[in-house]
Amino acid sequence: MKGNNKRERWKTKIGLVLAMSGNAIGLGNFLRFPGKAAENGGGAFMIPYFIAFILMAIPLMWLEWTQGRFGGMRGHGTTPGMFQAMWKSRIAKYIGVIGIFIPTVVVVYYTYIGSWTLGYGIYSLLDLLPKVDQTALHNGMSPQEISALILKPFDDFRSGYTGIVSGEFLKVQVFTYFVFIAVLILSVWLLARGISRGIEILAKIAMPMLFVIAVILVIRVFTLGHPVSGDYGPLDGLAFLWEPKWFIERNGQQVFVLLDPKTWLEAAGQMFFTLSLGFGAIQCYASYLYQDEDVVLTGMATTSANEFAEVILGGSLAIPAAAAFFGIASAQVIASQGSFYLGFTSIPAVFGFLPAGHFLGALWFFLLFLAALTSIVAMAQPMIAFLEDEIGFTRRQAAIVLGIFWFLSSHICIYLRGGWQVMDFWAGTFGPPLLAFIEVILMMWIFGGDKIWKELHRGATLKVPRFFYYTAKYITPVFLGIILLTWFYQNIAMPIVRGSFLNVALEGVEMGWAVWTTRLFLFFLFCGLCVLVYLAWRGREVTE
Amino acid sequence: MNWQGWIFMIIAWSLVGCLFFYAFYHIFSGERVRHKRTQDKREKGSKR
Repeated sequence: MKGNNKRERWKTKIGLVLAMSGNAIGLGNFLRFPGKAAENGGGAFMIPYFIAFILMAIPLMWLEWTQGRFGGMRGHGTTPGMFQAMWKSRIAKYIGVIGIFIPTVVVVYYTYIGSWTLGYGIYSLLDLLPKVDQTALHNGMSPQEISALILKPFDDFRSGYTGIVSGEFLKVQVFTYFVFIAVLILSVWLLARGISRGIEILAKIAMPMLFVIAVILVIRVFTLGHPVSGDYGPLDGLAFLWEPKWFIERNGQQVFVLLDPKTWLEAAGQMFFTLSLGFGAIQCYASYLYQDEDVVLTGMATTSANEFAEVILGGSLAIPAAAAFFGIASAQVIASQGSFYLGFTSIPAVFGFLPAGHFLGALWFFLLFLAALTSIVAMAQPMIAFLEDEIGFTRRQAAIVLGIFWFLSSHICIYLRGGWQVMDFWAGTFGPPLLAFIEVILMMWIFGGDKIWKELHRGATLKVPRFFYYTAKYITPVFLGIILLTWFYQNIAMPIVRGSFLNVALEGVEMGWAVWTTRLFLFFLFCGLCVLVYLAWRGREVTE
Repeated sequence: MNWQGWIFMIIAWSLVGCLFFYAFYHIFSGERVRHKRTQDKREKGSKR
């Protein structure tokens, strides 16, 4: 450890819980969850969802909190130092690089996407979003008619805002760019203020506001009645989301949802995404805890706050609102188009039909912006902690250095076609299960399950049932191993067998030099971080 | 919504809701105890 021996600490427990909840609650709670649930059997999806929650998410969450506090007491806020402290092997710190690589890449593209919510919020507040034709909507419209007549202007607006593809580049509006810069500056300023004066204060203001806004919007959605036809209302949206569909169509075939591996992978993926597991961010926040802080209870509180925001609030907003205006068939089509279509195309259109709709739209985007901002600072914090703890920078220096890197690398996402999708694929989809798998093996098998169990209960007011010990030791690694093997089979082995590995991008975008540029950027970033770790430890190994 | 939908929704909401209120009840009661202890210490200190 090169940094200051006196690490910053969270000022209050409630501040810590709110900041950790802010880390977890993001766009995924309000946009990704309803779409995934609707696509994967509705109520039936909740069975693998809660099984993944109990067998994988809860044990991992407690392990990450424990690892974070353990590392923080030894002056390490990030995984290279934490892994090294738990495993006296030369390679441990280099494996730990994954835990700073993931949040650093995520923060680059997530800030840009998060800035869209603020930009849309401003447009909505000023009533500058496309206007809906109040007379166009009538009962009995097909999903195709709704897409063409009602939603198309909003979809075109979204394409214009987020960038029109022109060859390998994206043409982005000046406004989009400036809003992004504003969000970037705000985030760097908050980070430079530190844990208790920056992140904690933000969480104490943003999280209660987020819950209040979400409750206001849920109330508004459920008082819509039957705005278009007596045939459908918001309750039909809930039915669409919660009625179990045991057989669903996949690739033209009817499959039993609980025997389909894709359903289980989607449930596990949603768990990682929503709780920010395997991102290296939980450990970083937990490293600012006091030695006897109760990680069992605070961990459970943040997890429950996230689930409350996702299952209760997130599930009661976008889909019921879309179903109330456009009917179940159209809501199904909207949900299948993905999270951004749901949040940025259909919801502004829904609010466009309501009195003071532009104000409600602004509230919706402000809600998403608060969720995004609290996650942005959480994802940026590991790099700040790494520069402070291991390189020896002051917090201000670390914030400035990260800010410059952040600004420059964001241009890949803003201007290159497929840039953010490539980053999301490697850092947001593949990275977290990999890091989680390494963590659980390291803690339960290399460092020792009994030592971790003892460490977890230090200062705890509640005793964790022994069931979770065995789960973390045996079931969670197997669960994660299956996820990784399936991922490898689907994304690497099958394309090689088919001969499409080099021609079709794994990341779900069209192959081109922009995709290769982004991949190269990620490769050099990872190598650069390994070099930084080598330099940070070089002097230490000599003195040790 | 059919009865299966209601059952799934009520079970999921109850599980999440109970976990949420249980955890935050303990957090807030712990904070209250800690706050009271600090106040008692301060009062003792001022009496001396």
